[in-house]
Amino acid sequence: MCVNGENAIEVQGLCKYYNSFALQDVSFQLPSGSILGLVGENGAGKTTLIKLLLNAIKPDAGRAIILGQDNQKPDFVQLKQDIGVVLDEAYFPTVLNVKQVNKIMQHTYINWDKELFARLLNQFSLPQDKKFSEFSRGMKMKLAIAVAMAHHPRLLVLDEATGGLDPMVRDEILDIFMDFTREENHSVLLSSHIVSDLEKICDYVAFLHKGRLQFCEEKDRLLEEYALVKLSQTDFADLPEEAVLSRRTSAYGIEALVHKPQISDIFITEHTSLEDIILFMAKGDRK
Amino acid sequence: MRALMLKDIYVLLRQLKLFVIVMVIFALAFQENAVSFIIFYAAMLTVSSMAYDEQSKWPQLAMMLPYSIRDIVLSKYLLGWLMIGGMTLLSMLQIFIDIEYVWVSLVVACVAMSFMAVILPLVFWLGTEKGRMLMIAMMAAVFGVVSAIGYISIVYGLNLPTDNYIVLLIACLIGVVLLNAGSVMLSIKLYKRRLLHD
Repeated sequence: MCVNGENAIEVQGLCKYYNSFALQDVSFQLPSGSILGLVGENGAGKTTLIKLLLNAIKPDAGRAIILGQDNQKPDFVQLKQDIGVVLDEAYFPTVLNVKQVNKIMQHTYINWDKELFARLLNQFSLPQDKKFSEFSRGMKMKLAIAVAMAHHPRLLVLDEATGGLDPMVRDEILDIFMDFTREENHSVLLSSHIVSDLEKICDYVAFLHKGRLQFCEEKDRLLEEYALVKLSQTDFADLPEEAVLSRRTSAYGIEALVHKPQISDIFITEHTSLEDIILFMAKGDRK
Repeated sequence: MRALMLKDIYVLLRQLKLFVIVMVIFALAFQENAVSFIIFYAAMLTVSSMAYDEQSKWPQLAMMLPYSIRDIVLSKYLLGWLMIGGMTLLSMLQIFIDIEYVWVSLVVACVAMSFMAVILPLVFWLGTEKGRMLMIAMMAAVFGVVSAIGYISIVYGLNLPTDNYIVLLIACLIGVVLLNAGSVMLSIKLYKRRLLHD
């Protein structure tokens, strides 16, 4: 689990039950000044978790403290002035144009910064008069990101915000997110399918699988301490059971994801990527 | 609240332009019924704005922004009241044709606000698709009842007590205020249930 002094997000035992899906016992912390990447397959519960964090749906159990405040308290709605949100689509009425969005947001956010918004629009090359319905998906997402950042939030919550963007723009936007966390009290929760994005900018990675949080660790620690081993069935038996996180068995032997500090140096390990770790945890045999 | 109202006005701008054209045609073609149509159409614009919201999934985003459910619900009612109020004032211009249009406009405005007070909780609860179907059914029922009353009053020679128009109007207004206050509270409760416990 991620643990640190002051946290932008603290979640404890969060649960939400639906007929065909359940988000169960999710606990993690996002330390202030950090970027936490939330990764998981479609339907893993990422959006449900984000809705729970922002009190857009009620939890069945557990609690979430956002920027030091219980999100179930009535004045949490005021705290949202300090939170920037980008969902997987822009969700602005399609008949609006950028100028109108600017006017609406001026009346929404106390700290709305027209100049910053204009700068971001310029940086993203977004036309001011074009209707939203004529925007490409990439343009819509860029507008949503500009809106989320133009009121000087302390916390950015991004749900698949980089999806649908070309690699150049994605890279540019990831840099903006990284710049954002240069300020000590700025934090980002970024949910994404694109593991390479998370690997590039995240300090912490949380992996959600079938409604359960599999891990939430410091990214560097994950990459340092997790490794792959390729062994025959016989050699595999010599590995301490508690060090094996997941494995794949084939005709040629066993490939396993292991916790390096728990195994002897005689085993030859291979460096692993975040994507390998996640794929192993999601698809490997974990018995 | 101002942000939400502004958003609704921007969203309805195009429809309002179309509305003015329809209103002129309707006023020319069916002069006597134009007042009722214009005011009822104004009441329906609130539901139209909610349909646009749903189409763009705005409610999901709104829940993440610093708007309370109370503000979201209240802004829709406020929009409806302003639209009905505006259209009622416009329709009162017919005072130059016949002074009785003023009373007719005010009574129709009260009926339209009552209609809105009944329909909005259903829309907040069920969404615009099902809510709109109910709205059409209810409008047919309202017009059926009004026509029946009109027919009966013609056949039996009944007339509204014209001397007591003001008393009748005050009673109507009190009823409308109470109905709308109850409706707002119910809508907040139903919308909370629909969104938060979805």
